[in-house]
Amino acid sequence: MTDGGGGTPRGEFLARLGSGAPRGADTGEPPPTPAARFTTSRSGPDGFMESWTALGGTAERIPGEELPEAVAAYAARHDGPLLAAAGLGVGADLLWPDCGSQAATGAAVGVVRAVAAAAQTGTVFLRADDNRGRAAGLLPPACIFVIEAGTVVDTLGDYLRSVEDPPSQLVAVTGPSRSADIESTLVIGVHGPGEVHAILTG
Amino acid sequence: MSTPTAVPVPFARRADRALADDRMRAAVARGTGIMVQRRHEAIAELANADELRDAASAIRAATLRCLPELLARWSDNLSALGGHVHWATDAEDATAIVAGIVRRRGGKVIAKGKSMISEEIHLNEVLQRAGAEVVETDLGEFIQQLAGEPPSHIVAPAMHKDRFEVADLLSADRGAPVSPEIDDEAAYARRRLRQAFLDAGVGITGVNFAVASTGSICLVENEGNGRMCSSLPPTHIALMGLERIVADFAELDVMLNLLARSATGQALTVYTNIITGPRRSNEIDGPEELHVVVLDGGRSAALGTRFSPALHCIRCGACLNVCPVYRQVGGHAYESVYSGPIGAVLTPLLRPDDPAARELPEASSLCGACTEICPVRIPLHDLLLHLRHRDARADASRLRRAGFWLWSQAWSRRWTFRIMVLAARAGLPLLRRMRHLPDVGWLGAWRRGRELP
Repeated sequence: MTDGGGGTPRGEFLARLGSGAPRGADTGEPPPTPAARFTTSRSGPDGFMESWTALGGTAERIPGEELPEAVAAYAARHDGPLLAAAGLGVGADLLWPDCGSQAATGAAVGVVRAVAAAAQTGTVFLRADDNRGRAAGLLPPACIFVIEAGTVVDTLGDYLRSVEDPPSQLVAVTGPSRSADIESTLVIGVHGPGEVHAILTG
Repeated sequence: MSTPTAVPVPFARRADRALADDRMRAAVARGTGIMVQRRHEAIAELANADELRDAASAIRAATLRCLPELLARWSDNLSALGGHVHWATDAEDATAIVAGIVRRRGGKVIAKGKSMISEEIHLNEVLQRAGAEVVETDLGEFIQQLAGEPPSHIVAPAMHKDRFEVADLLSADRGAPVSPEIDDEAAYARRRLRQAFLDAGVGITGVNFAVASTGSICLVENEGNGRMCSSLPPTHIALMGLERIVADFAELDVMLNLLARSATGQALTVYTNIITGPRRSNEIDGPEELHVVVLDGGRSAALGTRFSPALHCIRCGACLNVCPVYRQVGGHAYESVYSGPIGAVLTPLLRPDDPAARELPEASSLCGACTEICPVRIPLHDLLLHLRHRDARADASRLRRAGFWLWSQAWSRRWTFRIMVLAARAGLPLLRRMRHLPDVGWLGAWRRGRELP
């Protein structure tokens, strides 16, 4: 489809790119896709917390029923409202999306539930489905990621290879927002949260 | 081959100008040095880096052999989820598509994440002419936009500036001083750009990889601006080159394990955004419309030629960081969106009629550092040599070609080789006695910078 100008029909565009033979028809076998292996081995919740803190994040592990208290305690150390997506089961001052994006931007802390984490790289996986939303883990300067300890896998590849029906947005978050665009010097907290806290439950 | 026309400012002259800019050279030397060091440390964390690089190279080659099928499958999958795929033959096609969407979807402000394709098609100029306010939101791109300059590095657009130059630009934007402390500069950009994200009617980003099996696009970044541009505005437009596709998540995994390590020395970028269609009916936020514009822009002409490995590139920028030419002259001397070794290969392929592009393969010592560091094993210095060869063959007169043919014959047979060596031994003292060799034409160019033994 086009919006009043520009664009080449798909057939014409693709015809310039070769025969249209499917992958494997030329060489008989698909290219190899080896999993990444690491020189140091980190796995499980402890491995994740080690990688995550090395990136500049903070982490704690608590029994599941203590989650509301742990979130409240973290939020209390920050000056400003706590933003959560509806249905997370923690008390919050602002509920996304009812509060609107301008108010969400004014939140001091956001809290979101992750679907999994990867220990080797300190990566948290967020899915924008089931009312989780995207803004609560993105707009506030500090953010809490709630991770069930049993969902920690070893690597990005372990998680990606298990995804069959990806949501509209799947974000792998590896540490606090950062930039090295000025003099190759690391700055933490540019557009996304600069303070990231992982709470592992169970 | 097009007929050669006068080059406005030859590369050699631009390089001389760059070499006189001590401040820029210090910034580039520092930046590339740090990036190379970080890349080596990050690759060393992988126990099977070589295996992954071999696999990545094989994946890219297999992808280029099956582009129509992969792109068709990807676009079918994305369309089924409500995403719109647009096919653009050239820059004019691509900018018309984007301008059309912007016109229909409204919004004065456009929040833009980093996209080399948008530089390639000069998108900002087109949108601004149409009355839109385009805000670059990547910190480096924002600095470059304020400076009115194109990016000078694929990954670090403002590598050539120091923090004092950045502070001057930000202070001018603010109308009040911003201190030359990097933390303060980043904090100002955060405040300044936050409102643009909230106000924007359209977000524009690049694409690192498209995934055929799911219809996804993957966008990697560190600051969160790409995530903002693809999450907050009601319309998200993503721009990608037609070669930027993988078959499935297993192939994506191989690529992601190499890309950030090679680019910035991170295991992964902070945000790996995998976007599979616009927001769905059960979701509470996200863009209502997702458009992906796929650009040919001269790429299809390189397919199936000896230059097609140039399309394996995943835009990590590692070859720039190790290149002795780039490290001395910086990115702007290339006068191309793509600088460094990959730029010297890609630019003449994407701009075949531009004489200025055709001289870029000369901007190399052929040392091979680029080939050695490339995560997908593009034989960059071979390609540079092939491009020189192609152009020399097209441009040289018959007499000159015959001369070089004789020269190569003379040095590649045993008995003629002996004669050449004897002639050189006899001729050298004579040459040395001649104080002034003619300093004109190609002989002069060859002689400058060389001394007789």
